[in-house]
Amino acid sequence: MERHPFSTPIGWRGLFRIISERFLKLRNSRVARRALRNSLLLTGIGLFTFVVLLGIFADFLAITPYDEVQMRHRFEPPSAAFPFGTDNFGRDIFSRVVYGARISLQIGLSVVVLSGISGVIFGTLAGYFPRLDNVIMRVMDALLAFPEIILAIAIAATLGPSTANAIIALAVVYTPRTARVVRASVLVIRQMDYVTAAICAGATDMRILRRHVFPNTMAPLVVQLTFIFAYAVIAEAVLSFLGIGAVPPTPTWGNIIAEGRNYIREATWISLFPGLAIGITVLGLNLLGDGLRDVLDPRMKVRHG
Amino acid sequence: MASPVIPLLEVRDLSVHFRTEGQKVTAVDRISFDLAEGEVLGIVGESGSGKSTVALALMQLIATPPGSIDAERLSFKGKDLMSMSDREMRAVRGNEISMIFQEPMSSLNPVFTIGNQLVETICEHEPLTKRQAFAKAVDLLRLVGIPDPEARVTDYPHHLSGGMRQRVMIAMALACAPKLLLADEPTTALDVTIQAQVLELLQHLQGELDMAVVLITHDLGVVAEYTHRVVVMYAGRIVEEAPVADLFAAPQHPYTELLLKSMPPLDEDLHRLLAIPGSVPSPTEMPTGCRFAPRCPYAQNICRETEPAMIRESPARAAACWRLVDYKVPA
Repeated sequence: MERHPFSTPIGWRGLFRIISERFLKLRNSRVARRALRNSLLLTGIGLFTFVVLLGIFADFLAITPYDEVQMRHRFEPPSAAFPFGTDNFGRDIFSRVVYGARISLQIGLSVVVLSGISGVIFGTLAGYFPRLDNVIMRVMDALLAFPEIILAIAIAATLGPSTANAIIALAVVYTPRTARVVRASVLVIRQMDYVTAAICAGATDMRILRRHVFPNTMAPLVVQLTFIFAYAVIAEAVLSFLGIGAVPPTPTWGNIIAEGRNYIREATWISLFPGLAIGITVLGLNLLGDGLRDVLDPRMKVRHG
Repeated sequence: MASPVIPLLEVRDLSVHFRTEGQKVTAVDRISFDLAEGEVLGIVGESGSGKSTVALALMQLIATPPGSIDAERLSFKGKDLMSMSDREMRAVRGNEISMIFQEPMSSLNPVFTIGNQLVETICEHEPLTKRQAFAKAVDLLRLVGIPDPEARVTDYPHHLSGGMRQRVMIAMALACAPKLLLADEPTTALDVTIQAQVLELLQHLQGELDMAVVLITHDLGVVAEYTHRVVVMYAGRIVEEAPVADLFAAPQHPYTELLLKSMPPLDEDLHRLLAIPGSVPSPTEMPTGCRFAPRCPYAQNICRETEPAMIRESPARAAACWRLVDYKVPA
C-alpha cells in the first residue's frame, strides 16, 4: 500500500511526517507525534530552517558579491536589482545580510558546541561527584554574576577583535548556563533506581556516566542549547556592532547595523534588514526551544494563551 | 539445618550511621545474622526499621559521607566485604550478589531498550559477543516468564507494565547467576495478583538456580509463603529471629506477636483491625532500654531501663525480650 509521498497534496505537516517517519525512523514515536501537533515548534523549525538555507546557499543567492563597491549605486532604496537596497559604498545589503546569516550561524553553532561540551563536563562533574560540586558551581556562579553581554565584551576586547575570539568569549559566557542545567538533571538521575541498579550490576563510574547519566540529560540540554543559540546570535551582533566581533569587511548582522547607524534617517533599509534577520532567527530559535521543551518534557509544558 | 560449614553470608554487629547536620543517626544498630546457601531469609519490619539500609550496606552502597558502616564481620563466602577495594567490590556486585528494587518504574533506564540494557549487564561480566549476549538476553526474558521475548527485547521500558518491568529487573539481576539475591520490597509497588506472580517466579528461580535470597518486606503474608527463616527488625535492631513456622506458631517477642495479631484474619468477621499503638521512635530520639517498651503491653520497669540482649533458645531461634530471661527483680 505504498503511496508516493508527493502524489497527493500533503501540506507541511505531511512533509514533516514523512521526514520524521521515513528518514528519522520515528514511526510510532510519542515524541514525533507530539511534535507534529505542536504548531509553534513547526513554525520555529520552519523559520530557523529558512535562515539556515539562506546561510548555506549564500553563494547562489547573493548575485552581487557582498563586498563589491558600486559608487554609482550608493544609498539606493530596495528595488528589483537590490532587494534590500544598498549602503554608503553601494554594496548590496541583500548579499551582505545573506552572508551575515552564514557568519551568525557559524558563530552561534560554534558557541553552542563549545559551551555544550564544557557545560556537560563541568555540570556532570559537579552533579556526580559531590566533592567537586561546590568548587565548580561557585566558579560558575561568579561567571553568572556578571551581566552576560558585559562579560562577553570584556573577554572579546581583551582577546582582540576576531571571529574566533568572539566565539571563545561567548562560549565562556554561556558555559555556566549549560553547566547548571546539566548539573540539575545529573543530581536527579543520580538518585534514580536504574543508576543504583547499574552499580549493583558492577558498573564503573565512567560507564554509569556514559550510559545512564549523559543520555538522560540530553532533553533539557538540547532545549537549553537552542536558547543559547538565540542568545549567541544576539550577543554576536552586539559584539560586532561594537567593533569587537568579526572584522570588517566580513559582513555580520551586527556590523551592517553599525555601519547603517549614521544614515538611519535617510537610508533606514541599511540597518532595518539585518535587524529583521536577527529578529527572525531569534524568534525561530525561541519557538523551536519552547516547542522542544513541550515535546520532550510534557510535564514542564507552558500553557500558551 | 544448621551445619558447621561456613555460611554464605555472615553478618556480625553491623551498624550503619548517618551524619546529618552535626547529628549522628543510627539507622541500623549492631545486627547479626547468617544466611546459608540456597536459603530464603525474610527481613520484616515497619517503615523506617532499617531493613532496606541493611540491603544497601551488604552491597556497600551506602554513600560515605554522610553514611558510615561498621561491622565486626561482614563476609560473603568467607571473604570480608568491608575490606574490599572498589574494584573487588564491583566484581562481587552483579556476579555474586545482585539486587532488585521496589520501584520497577524507575529501575530501568528510559532511553534504552530492555534488550540493550540486558546486553550491557551481560557483557560487563561475561566475554560474549553482542550477538551471543543478545541471544542470552532473550533466554533470560523467557526464563522470567515474559511472553514473546524475541519481540519484547526491542521494547523500551515505557512499553511495559509494572509487573513486566519487575520481571525484566529480575532477569537483569539474574544475568550472571548470582549466589545471593537481595530483593528489597520487590512487589510493594505492584498489584496484588501481579505480586503473587512475581513472588512465585522468584521462588521458582531460587529453587532452579539454587541461590540464596534475602527478601525484605513488610508483608507477613509474603514472609509466611515464601521464606524459610525470618528476621524481625524494629527501630534498627533485630528483635526476633526464627524459622518461619515457629515464628507464626509461637512468636517470642511482643512486637512479633502484635504484628501477627494485626494481620486481618480470613476466617472471622472483624470490625476493627488491631493496630499497634504509637509509632516507631525517631532514630534521633531512641528510648533507653528496650526500644519497643513505649508501645509494649508487657513492659516493666527493667524494659525501660536496660536493653535486653538476644536470648538464643536454639541455633535458629532467638529474641531480645526480658520476658525470656528468668531474671530476679533486684530487691
